[in-house]
Amino acid sequence: MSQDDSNNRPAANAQPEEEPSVGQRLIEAREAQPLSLAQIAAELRIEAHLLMALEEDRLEDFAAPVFAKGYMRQYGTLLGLDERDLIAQYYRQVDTRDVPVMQQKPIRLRDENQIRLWLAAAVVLVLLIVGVVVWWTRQPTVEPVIDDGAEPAIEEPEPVAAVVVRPRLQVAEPPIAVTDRPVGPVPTALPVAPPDALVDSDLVAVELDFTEDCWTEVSDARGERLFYGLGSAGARSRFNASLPISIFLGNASGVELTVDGERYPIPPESRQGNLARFVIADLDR
Amino acid sequence: MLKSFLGYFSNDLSIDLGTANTLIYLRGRGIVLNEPSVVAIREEHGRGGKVLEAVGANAKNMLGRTPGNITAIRPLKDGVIADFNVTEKMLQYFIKKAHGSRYFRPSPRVLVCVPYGSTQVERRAIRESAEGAGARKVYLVEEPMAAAIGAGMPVHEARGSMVLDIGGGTSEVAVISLNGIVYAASVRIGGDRFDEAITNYVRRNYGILIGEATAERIKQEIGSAYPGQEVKEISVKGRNLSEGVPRAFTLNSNEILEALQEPLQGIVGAVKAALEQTPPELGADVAERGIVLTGGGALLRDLDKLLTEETGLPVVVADEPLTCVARGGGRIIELLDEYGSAAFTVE
Repeated sequence: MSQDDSNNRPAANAQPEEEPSVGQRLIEAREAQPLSLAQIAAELRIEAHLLMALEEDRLEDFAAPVFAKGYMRQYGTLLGLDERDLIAQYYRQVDTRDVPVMQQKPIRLRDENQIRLWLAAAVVLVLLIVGVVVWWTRQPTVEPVIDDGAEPAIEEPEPVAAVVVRPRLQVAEPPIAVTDRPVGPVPTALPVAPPDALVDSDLVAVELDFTEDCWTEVSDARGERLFYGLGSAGARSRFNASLPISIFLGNASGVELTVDGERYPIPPESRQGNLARFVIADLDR
Repeated sequence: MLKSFLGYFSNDLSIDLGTANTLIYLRGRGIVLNEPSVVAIREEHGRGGKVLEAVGANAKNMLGRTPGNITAIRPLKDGVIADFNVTEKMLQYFIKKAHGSRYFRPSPRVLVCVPYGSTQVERRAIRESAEGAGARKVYLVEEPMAAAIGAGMPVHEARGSMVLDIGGGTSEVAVISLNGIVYAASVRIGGDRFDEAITNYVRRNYGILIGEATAERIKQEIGSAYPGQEVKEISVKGRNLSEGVPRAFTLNSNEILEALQEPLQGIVGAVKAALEQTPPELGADVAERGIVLTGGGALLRDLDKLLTEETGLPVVVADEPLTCVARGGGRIIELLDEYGSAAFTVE
């Protein structure tokens, strides 16, 4: 409304020290007229002590600024003063333009702020989950390896069809037996050996000569795939791998296997027809 | 889900959904929209649908001046929704406009002020239209409470404060103490009834028919509620009923005062009834401090004087009475965040 311009207009030439206050202006205007405070109070139906409070600039006597301003407007208009001018001056005199609506916190059991708490909790939870997933995926995957050479425990993806080869065709016990074993050495040995030691001690040269086409899967102690695919007839494949090496041959009769320069016969127990699935656990050098 | 996401890009709004004007207070910005609650709709036969032609001030200019395919309507009547779909469209437009040009469809929390006397059905209609207009959460608060807070009354005190809010469709009088309404009453008399009374007066005494907009202009320019020293005049034009042609004539403020007597007495009666029903302690507080006038009706000249004479109590007009309800609603949203929903009776 006109509040703003009435605020700005007198402020331009305002001289705070010399300017009479609202109360002084009201007193002056009243004394210039043949009206007593009681008469004005009766006319406006505003109690005389409140009018006196206005004249003495005791604005804190009013319950709220809305009343002080309202009375001031009516009083000023009755005395022939410009109400907009008075209100503008009132604003220069006081700082507060608003009334505090509530001073004390009510007792409450639940409020909307809890939504924020929930939100914070949800964010923390999400961060936690993300952190766990990241940590999980970045974990190095190392197969448990026994380094004392006494009781190799080898986990097979398909233990039923699998045969574990120990020193030269000797069949190892199934892995279940290892975990069931009551005596101590194996479980204590289960913790992973340092990968470097593993590589140094058990690295062997493996050579595959394909006389016929044969699907071949070879993986080393760490589960790393060294060969995975169809070896075509006449091809030769050679690689170094750490023991134990698990091998699957789709056409066992079409492959000749050489380990460390020695021919390695495919263990007959491991064969199922033309398939062979076996593990080279130890060369017994 | 999407609404709650978009909510982070939207500010809280307080809406004074009035019969005559809709005001929107945007938290942190103040009153950002003050438009007449009028919608103009164009019927498109080719597409078989209705299209918004104009909303707000533009639509108000069309009131009573539309061709057959356009209807300018006021979707609210007596403070409550008369046409649900149009109200929803209007709110949607206003909320979008209040938010300015954003890339996101706004999804704010909205506080809407409803008349004290409104029924559950009427409140539900208001809530649903606000939700349909994109509000993420809708609070409803009773108008007298918002008006008192907007006027800066000390409603939290254990003392009585009486507020009289005269809107376009309804007038509400309430006695408030300790952030709650002790007594309130709503009468369906407001600015519209004033306009209607002026139209009827002119037709009866001059045999001339004037439109809504003209009646409103007369009220704003020379209307008063109490005989003053100076008599103002206005020249208006209307259709002479017997001759059937437009004629110009002059009205003065005393005639309008006479015309307004009936609705004014209705409001005075409501205030007197409220004072009768107020518990004596609170009545004593009101008698000492007086009654605060808010709403567009408070702008009627000398209405405070009339009420002072009739009740014998001091009556003061709040600063910017037209925006009190919207500003009070905005303050309530802030208080809800600050103190929780226990602080005020909101729905």
